[in-house]
Amino acid sequence: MSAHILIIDDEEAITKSLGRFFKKSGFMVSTASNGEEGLRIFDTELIDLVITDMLMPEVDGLEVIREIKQERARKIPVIGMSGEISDEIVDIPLLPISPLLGVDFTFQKPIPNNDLLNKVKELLELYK
Amino acid sequence: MERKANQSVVDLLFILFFEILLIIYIENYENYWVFHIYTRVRDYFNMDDGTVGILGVCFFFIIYGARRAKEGKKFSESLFNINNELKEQIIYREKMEKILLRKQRLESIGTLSSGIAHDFNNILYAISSFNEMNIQALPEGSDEWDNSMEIQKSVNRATELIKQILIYSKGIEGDMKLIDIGDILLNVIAMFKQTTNPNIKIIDKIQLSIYIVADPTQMHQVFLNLFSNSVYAMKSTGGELKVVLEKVNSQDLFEILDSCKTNEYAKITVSDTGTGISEGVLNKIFDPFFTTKKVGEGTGLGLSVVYGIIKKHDGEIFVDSEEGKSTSFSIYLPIKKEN
Repeated sequence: MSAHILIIDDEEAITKSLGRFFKKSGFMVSTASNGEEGLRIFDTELIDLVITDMLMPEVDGLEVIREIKQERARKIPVIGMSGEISDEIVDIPLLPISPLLGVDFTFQKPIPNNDLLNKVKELLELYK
Repeated sequence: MERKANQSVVDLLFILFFEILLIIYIENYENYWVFHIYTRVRDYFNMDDGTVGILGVCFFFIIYGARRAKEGKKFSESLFNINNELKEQIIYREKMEKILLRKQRLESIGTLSSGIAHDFNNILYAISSFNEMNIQALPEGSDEWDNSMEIQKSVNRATELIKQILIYSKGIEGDMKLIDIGDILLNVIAMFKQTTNPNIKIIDKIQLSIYIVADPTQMHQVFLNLFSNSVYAMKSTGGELKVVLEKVNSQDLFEILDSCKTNEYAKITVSDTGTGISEGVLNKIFDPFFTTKKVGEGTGLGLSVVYGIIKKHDGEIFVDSEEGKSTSFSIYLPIKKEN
């Protein structure tokens, strides 16, 4: 069975394009336009990997990651992305709480679709 | 003032006392020579004792007046000096105010541009992601495929530009290590000496073994951008590019630096004898996308990137220029350790 990816971003164009790309690449895809909706989908569906935007209004990416990794203690890979400068999101794993948060990979938008696909495949393999 | 007034009263009393002594001497005829000179002078001018007394008083006032005039001259001289000092201080303050305003403006532009950059990255991500799918779906070499490739190229260019803005507004955490800043300068200077037109003379005065913690690649870029601008400013006329690296004490800098991070700073001065920068332009040179070059010759990001990098390294950069004559950039970077 193909892996199920949840994509959370408040930019509709991004959830749409990434959703389409991962569907074409053979994945099951769910999308959400904010953190709250993302967590609701996460709780109702069997998700194998989450790609979330970091900066979103109200429930942001950090909160989503904390909820998944700590509150729900789910052992699945989570990828954080942001249009912000790279060192700020790369800094997240350096924060004292980040080993607990356990974000697996962060990147600055935009990156080539195939680079993201390779990272997703690599992480799914790692968590198998 | 009070001290001076007291002093002249003392002088006056002293002179009066001396005159009284003289009169006693004369009256007692004890001092033959004084009496002799006195009577000779008195008889020579055919005067009586009363006239001599009046003349003596006049003489006293002339001397006293001359002394006061001398003091007055001294006083006006010191007033003149104080006035000059004040004038210098006003010019200095005005200069500092301008620097402060420029800094504040750059900071607000930085905040604004990093917000815009964030939004643009999101937009570009959607464009490139959709477009990549088109590229994959279209037959390679077809017109449509080629169109999508052109879109991708433009997206990549825009992405690169936004990266530069972000370096300006926030700086990028580089590979920070202990480096001899003189080494890097000499490297870039050597490169320019090889490639620059011989009508531009490159002079360097580099003090070695000044160590700072910095990203060598970013420092390389700083000098590359500054030297390129200098060479550009002198390309038709020729001239002199002078690069100086020296160690300065932070005590001398506390007025120009926001906060001193260390006792010693590396000061790098890059000056040229090019076209110079006008006052109006000088205030904008660190702004992103500001350029005086023709379309296609520059993006207007060179100095913005320099500014961003220097800020990220806890440093400061200042510019001085005289239109039509010269431009000089001074960079201050905190020295971390010396071997």
